[in-house]
Amino acid sequence: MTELALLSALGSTNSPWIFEKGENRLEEELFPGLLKITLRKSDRALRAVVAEKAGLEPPDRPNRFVEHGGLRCGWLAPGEWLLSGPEGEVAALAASLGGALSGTAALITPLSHARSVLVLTGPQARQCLMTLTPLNLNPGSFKAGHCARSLLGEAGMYIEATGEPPVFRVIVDQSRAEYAWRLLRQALEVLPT
Amino acid sequence: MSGYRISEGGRINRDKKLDFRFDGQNYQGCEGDTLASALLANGVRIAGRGFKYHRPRGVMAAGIEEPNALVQLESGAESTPNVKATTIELYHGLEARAVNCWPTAAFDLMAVSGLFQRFLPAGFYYKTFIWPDWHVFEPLIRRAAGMGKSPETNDPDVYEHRFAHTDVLVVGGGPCGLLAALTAARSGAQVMLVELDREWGGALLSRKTTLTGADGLAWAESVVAELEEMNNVTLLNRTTAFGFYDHGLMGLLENISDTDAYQKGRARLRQRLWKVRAGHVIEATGALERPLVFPNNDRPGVMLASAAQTYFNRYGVAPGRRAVIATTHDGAYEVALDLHRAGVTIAALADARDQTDCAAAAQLRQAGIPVFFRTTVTDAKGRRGVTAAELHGLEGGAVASPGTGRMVACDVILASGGWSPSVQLFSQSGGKLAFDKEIQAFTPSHSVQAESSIGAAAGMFSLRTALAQAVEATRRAVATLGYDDIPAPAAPLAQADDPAPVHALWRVDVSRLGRPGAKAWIDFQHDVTDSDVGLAVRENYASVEHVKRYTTLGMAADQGKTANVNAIGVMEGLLDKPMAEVGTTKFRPPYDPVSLGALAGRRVGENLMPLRRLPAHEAHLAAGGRMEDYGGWSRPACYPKGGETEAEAILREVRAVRGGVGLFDASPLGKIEVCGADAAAFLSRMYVNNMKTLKPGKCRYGLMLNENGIVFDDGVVACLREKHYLVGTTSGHADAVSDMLQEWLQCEWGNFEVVTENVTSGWAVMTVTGPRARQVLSRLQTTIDLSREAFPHMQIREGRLDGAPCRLQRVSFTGELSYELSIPRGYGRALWERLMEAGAPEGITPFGVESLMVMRTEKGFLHVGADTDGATMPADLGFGGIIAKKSDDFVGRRSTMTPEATREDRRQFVGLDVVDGQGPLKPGAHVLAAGDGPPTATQGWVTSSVMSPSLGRPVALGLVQRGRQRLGEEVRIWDLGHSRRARIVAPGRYDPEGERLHD
Repeated sequence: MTELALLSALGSTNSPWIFEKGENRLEEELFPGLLKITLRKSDRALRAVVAEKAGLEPPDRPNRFVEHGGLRCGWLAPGEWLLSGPEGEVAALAASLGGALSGTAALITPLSHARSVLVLTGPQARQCLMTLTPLNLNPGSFKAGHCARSLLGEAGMYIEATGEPPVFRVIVDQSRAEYAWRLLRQALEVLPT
Repeated sequence: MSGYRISEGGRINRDKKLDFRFDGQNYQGCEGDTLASALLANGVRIAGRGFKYHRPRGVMAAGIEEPNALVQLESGAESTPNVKATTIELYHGLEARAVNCWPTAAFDLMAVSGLFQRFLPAGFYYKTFIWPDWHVFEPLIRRAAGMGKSPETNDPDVYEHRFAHTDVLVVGGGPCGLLAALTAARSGAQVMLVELDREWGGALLSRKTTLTGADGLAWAESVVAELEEMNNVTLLNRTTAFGFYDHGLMGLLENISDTDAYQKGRARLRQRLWKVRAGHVIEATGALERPLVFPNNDRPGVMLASAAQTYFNRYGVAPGRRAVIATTHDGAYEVALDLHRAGVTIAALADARDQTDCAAAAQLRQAGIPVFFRTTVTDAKGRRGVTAAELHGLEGGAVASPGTGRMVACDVILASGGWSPSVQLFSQSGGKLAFDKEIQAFTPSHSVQAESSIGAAAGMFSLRTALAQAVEATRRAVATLGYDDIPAPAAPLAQADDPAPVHALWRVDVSRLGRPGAKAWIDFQHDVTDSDVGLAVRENYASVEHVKRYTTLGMAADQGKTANVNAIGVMEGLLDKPMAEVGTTKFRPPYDPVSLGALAGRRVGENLMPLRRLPAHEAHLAAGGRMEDYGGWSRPACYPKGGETEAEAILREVRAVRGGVGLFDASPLGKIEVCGADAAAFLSRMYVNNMKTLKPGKCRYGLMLNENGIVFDDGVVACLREKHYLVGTTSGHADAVSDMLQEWLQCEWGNFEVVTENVTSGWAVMTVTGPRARQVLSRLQTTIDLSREAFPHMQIREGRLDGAPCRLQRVSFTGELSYELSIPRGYGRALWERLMEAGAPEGITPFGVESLMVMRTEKGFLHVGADTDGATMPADLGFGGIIAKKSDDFVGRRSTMTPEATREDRRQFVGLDVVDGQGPLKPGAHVLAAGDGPPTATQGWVTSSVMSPSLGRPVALGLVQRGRQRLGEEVRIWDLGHSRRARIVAPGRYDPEGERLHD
């Protein structure tokens, strides 16, 4: 039998969902590599293992992410980080970290299938998100290199600001991908042009 | 004909005419008009009717405080009830109808209720609860009252929310607010300035004001222009700050429907609700003028003096041709002068004070206008509009003196009882008020949050002083936020003004004139008069909060903006207690009504309580799945085929599973990974069952309690490998269980080396179940040995399936041989289709949640939440033996040893067989002792009940007192007066030995 076909949370196979309004663009990131690292009490020794295998050390500072060699590691909570990058690379890293941390109070959880990534860019991206999240998105308070967990409508989200002019990566549970897409699209639709 | 358009002046465009309709009549107004100013310009005197007595009412105010001129704006789906005509910007084609009347305000057939005025006193509703019967009056009152009507079809417009964070939020775009915003903005702070009006300038729009030798409005325009250029400033007009909540949170309602873009149909967004977190709030909310309380003060043509000034200066409308002005302070003299210069005859000015030395008074006298001191209005004549004012001299400041009366013909009475600072937002923030005798009003005295009141909102009615104070207050505020190096603007210099104290005249006492039935209105919108307040006090409602509720004073949509302070003044006289001690009622949000659409925002339709989607959602739809909400997930209830009812579909699906094989999407089943050196010990503490002895590759059923020993969840725990477990929870409960595990780990057992992760949505789970399940799976390529010997019931394997990683568990909720396949979510839909294809030779049948529930009820499997309630403990479910054998502690254990937990007559989980040959029992029906006659005390209830396709008869489960000791006993099942007969049996009437599970 042939291998099982892979679908994104929005049902895409190889062309992502895209919605544009003016100079703003909402796009589904197809099959991202996502990995959650959970270390009991942020254990230093375990973090060193992660640093060695991943090539970057999970950041200490809350609400910041670090990048190295195509991988990005963002702070989620004390002892919890979200690592993202190309799917294959992240899968390989998951396997090697899983082996290295086996038997310790650490969990390496592949989240590529559990989450959906929506990328919002454009001059009004901030304004659009401000209709949906109570997070302080003022340019001085949330800028490139910042990340946070908050709400998008009624769904939990993790958000990263990755560039200027604003590029926001909005990461939600895959079962709420369609809802998150709809909210963002509706918010874009009524933006004044 | 009363009001009229004057030939010049005002901020309207006389060249741009706008057609509109009011109460079915065509009229014309000008661009820049409000509906109220256009009605006055057209001579419309009756703009509405009273709420209770349906007396004719005219426009009384010019702004947000208007109590009388309420309209139903537009019709159909976009209709809005109870909008104040004074706040509606006129547009071409506008259509409005007055509320509280039928068919029109001018000719109201419901005015007949005015004849019953003496039978509708304060507390009327409450009294009918006691005698004779509220239900007699209810239909009549509901029809007669009730303001406007809600639209009956869906609102087609869009409402959105907007969150914002700012250093300084300035509420009010009058002179003080503008100056405060400019001061804050120049310091570099983030500033938001909101104004409920379309235009900036506040009182400058209504009063001709000179600032530093120039026109006040020109100064305002220059400030707005500077603010618009600054990128740290957000300006919001047409926006009402309606609620000041904790921690600097302000609710704003931005009206977009009034803008040109909306009217021309270019935008669909109607209103935006803002939630703003501000480091500091500056309330520059101004003040509201108070009406005077004299008999028949609700006649059309009785208007606030300041409103007349606004209509004249801003809208180019004279409120009447011949005016009588009644006042208690200097402010109204300026109004009289303005109107006199416009050609309105000032028939008289009645001042309740002994004298005044203000400049405007001298000018009036020079102009030959009669000014009467120690005099006020004691009656307004004219049923459908003022025709004359009766004046009387006053004794003791408030008592009309017999023999001093005179009748003055007029078509408008302009009254001013002083000004009340708009302290609503301040009060909502938790701030305390004090009574200021000088201005006879309540002012802010003690702040609780980071906020300051400035200008008239702070009780400062000298513009010169207020502007200087606005700069100072703002400098202090931004300094606390770290912006202390401020190139602050100099306050513009207003004319020197030092308002004289206001005379307290809360109610004109006409008792000595011999008019026992005379009524003077305090709350115009809710039709509450001075005699209603008097009655409430006589009936011993001595607290202002009680009087408010008993009379409904201040409880209308206007929240008593023109009524509250007058009412407190009236209570002062009745209770012989100073106003400071009477106090105010608590101000609560919203300051002005907020539409439900704005509160809901985007949370309508499919965005309200959004359901989570299954990985194979589209496949279920294609298979005819009837999707329903199960614990927040959209899941198939069943898959009806060609006209089948739900019951028929369930019957077919259950038979297919029992006789062949079925396929079920179990993806929402909770999956939590638990890992670490102490994982086994941790899980053993979380479950009633011992998890320390669970070996890799094995599964064990477990029951989880809360601290009170109440059953919280159940599920299957699988040991993936040493120190690494997979906790299964009931569907829809994964987040709650995950949170509970984290709470115990983080708050109580910090020494445990354990981490957990909720991985529920990362996996698609497909259950292949039925006697032919193994044949179906054997057609898939897998690294896992599926044979009975190699892979028995209650075990787990990891491997690969058709190229994808997979976890396979042999657990069953149907009572049949079952394989639960978990595969990364992205392959979920493909796996569903692959299984349907592989199972075709066996006739594999998709089945939904309802069919699963039938099968587990046949089997007697517990469903936590359905068969348990907020009192069910493990021993009630037969777990007493397991607890007795377990030596370790676990969450809730202590509570299972309390007297309550060990009572002998606790309700226990049992089966119930129907013995009367009829259909299934009603879930929720009570279990009573057998016998006929009146129902006896309940002994428990039916928790689950179905018609069993497998047994061909009804089966039920229930919680029954001492149930397990009463197996075989007949009981009576009672439901809403109907009795049935049933027998208590052991749960699980289908395959009681469980042979099919182990196939």
